[in-house]
Amino acid sequence: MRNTLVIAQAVWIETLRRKDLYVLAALLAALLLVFVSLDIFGVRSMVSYIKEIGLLMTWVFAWILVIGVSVRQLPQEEKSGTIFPLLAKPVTRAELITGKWIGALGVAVASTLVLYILLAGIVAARGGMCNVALMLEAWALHACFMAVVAAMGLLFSTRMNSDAAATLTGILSFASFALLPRVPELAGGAGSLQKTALMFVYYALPHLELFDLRQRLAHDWEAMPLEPFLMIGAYGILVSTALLALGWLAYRRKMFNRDQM
Amino acid sequence: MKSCAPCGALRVWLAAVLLWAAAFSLACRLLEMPPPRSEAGRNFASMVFGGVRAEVSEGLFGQADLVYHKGVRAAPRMKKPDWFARMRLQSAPYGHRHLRDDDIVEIMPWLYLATRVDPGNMTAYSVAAYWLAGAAGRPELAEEVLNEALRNNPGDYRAYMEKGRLAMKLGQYSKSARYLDAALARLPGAAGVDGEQKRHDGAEMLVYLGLAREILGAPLAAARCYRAVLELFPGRLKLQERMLALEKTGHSPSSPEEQARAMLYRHGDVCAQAEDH
Repeated sequence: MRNTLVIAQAVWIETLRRKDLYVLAALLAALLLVFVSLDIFGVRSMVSYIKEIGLLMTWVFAWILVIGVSVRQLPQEEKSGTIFPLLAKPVTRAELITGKWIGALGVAVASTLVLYILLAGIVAARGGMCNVALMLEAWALHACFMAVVAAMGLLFSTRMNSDAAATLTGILSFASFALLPRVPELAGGAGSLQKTALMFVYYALPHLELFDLRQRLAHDWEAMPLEPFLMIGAYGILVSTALLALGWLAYRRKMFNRDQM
Repeated sequence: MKSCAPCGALRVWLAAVLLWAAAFSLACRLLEMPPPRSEAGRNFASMVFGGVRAEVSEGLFGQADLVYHKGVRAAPRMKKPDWFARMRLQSAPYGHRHLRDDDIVEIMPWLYLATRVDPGNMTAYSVAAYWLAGAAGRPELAEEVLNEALRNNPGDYRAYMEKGRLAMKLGQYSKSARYLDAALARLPGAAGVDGEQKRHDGAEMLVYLGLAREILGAPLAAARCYRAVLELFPGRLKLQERMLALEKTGHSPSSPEEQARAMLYRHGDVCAQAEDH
């Protein structure tokens, strides 16, 4: 466990040293300020659009960040050759993957928490309100979303370079989020074989849309009941664990050759 | 293994053909859309991105509708919802709710953005003016919105129609009649609006114009408006009764002010059934 946390800590330090985190945050803040300062037909006191745009940007920010951080961890270690001293220490490959995952997830979750607090502050300054319980639920499920995407990014990066892994993770996570809920509708009009294939895809891929509470939060709905909230959270942990296990299976026997680095 | 030169050339050609097919498909999709609704403000950008702008603007208008329904989307219907569908129902807003009273202004940012992306989106202007003058209780802002719509769409009958309706809401009947006359004059040449919609709008404007003329003390002119409506929609029996009464006695069976108010503030929810969500 200690080894895992040391690796995670190294990921946090490395991410904080890089500029992309700050550039993304500055872009997000600038864009949000532009929207907040709009003169909308002379009407004031509207907050739902700020919540909606702010949450959308928070999701896009978290998505880019978590993919960017997770997919570069293993290829970077291999490219720079630091994988050799790292694995020469008593660190197992499972610990390496788990540490990288915790590191990538920790950075994304902490940055997202800051953005949620910033958004709540802007909404309060405009005279609006956020349901605190619902906001905590939304952030927790958002963290589950990032956990799954980080695990997916690490899985692909075990056998690909970082660019290819980022592209594949981006496409797959976007498709899982936006298209997967529509698959049963598509399967309804398909032939028997196509229907089976489509339903297989529907059940096999992670359902990332379940973690999205943005609409609830933006339109002042009540907090989610505890039981489905815990079930969706458990589903997120289960999918992340499965993807990490697959990543470990793909990585545990991977051979490294100094000449090919 | 080295790749041969003809294979490389073949790949380039294949890529070029694929790109051309994609560009052709996109062009077909964009050309299917209705032409820009006004000639006003057609600069180079709007000529190049016209179709895309209209699409984005429609998307923003759809977002305003979503906000009006408090974020409830039309959920895919499944005979036996699986675990994922059941969880989606728990996590996403579900049910039949609308914004009410002061909260209605929450749709304005999306309508505002829709009009900024495509100033020819008259529907967005109309909806914004309708709610500002109605539930939001800000007719002066509705007037400003419609003035902007008129500046951006000087040839569009709907801008005049909305101005006429707003004037009627404010009790300015002669102003209303002027705008409705102007709208009716522009109706036949209207581009980008389908024929059935034009027929309905024409009938609605004639009814409003008739009511305005009744209030202004011109019963025979009002009856002529109602007759024109009956030519479009012969089945409107109540209107026929009203027209006959005006022609015979010079008085209608019900107060034109009340009739106008009932029509102006009516907003039958098109999604009255919970199953629509």
